[in-house]
Amino acid sequence: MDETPLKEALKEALSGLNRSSGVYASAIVSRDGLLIASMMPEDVDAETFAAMTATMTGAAETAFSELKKGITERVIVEGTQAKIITTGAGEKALLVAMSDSKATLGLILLEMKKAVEKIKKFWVHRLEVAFLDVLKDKDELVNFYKKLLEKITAEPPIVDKDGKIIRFGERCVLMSSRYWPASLIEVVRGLGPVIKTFLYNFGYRCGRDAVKRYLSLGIPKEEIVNYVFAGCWYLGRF
Amino acid sequence: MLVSWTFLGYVESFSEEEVKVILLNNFEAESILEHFGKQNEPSCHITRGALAGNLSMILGKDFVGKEVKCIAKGDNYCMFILKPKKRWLG
Repeated sequence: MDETPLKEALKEALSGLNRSSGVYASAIVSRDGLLIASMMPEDVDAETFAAMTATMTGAAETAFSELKKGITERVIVEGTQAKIITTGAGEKALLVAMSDSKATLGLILLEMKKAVEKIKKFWVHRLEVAFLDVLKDKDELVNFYKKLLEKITAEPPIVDKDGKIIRFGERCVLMSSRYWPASLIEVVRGLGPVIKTFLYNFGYRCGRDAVKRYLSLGIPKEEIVNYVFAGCWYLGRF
Repeated sequence: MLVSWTFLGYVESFSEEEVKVILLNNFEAESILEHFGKQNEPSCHITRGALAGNLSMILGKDFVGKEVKCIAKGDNYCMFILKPKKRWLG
């Protein structure tokens, strides 16, 4: 399966690090230990490596915090055969590198700093942070979406005493998300090339009105993207 | 455990001049594939319109969306590029 451009770009940043500094395994890991991207030899289990290094970094951070000695900038572990170095790569991720024990630490740290700059640019904007928010296991992700949707659909009950579906004070109809795009296309097929514009304008209005509704409910603009993706999940089938 | 398909979608890149959005699951593409089969061109017109509508409302200027990769065309994900209206036209 093709990697997405984001994953390709993250892997490219890791390849650059591995090429230029004697690092033979590197990974981008969420602070709670989930693997985001890695460039690892086959004999290293990337997910275990991710979980262990995040735990290690978390322990160091706790120690610094307890001692009230500022924040942890990096964790360096030197063994007889290898060095492991972790450093922050933005608020939500860590960059982890493993090298031979004889590799030059200064060079590795310099190259890690360059890689962090490349990685951070993917989530410097709040909107881009959204992709990390969904980088969770399925249950956690679904719960995250459900909580968001509860905030905007807290209007109980969905069906009134006459059995009518009422949402946001409006009478709604129930449609199958599996059939409705195809049904809509089927209905307007006779329009020829204009069909694309018709469907686009229909979507545009839905998208614009959804954001209008989120704004009217007091949801901050920078969080709306999460609601958009939550809506995609709600409409989708998995 | 992380599994890549739990990604639903994310903002691939963002600036006031261009926004790229990737959807790894898209009910519109899945519906089209199921009912009309594989398409020769990107076909998620409702989704690209909806994203343009979302963004236009968030940023307060008119955005236009194009789909450059599409699950209904056989790609592994749908990718949308959204630009302010005058940039596409100009």
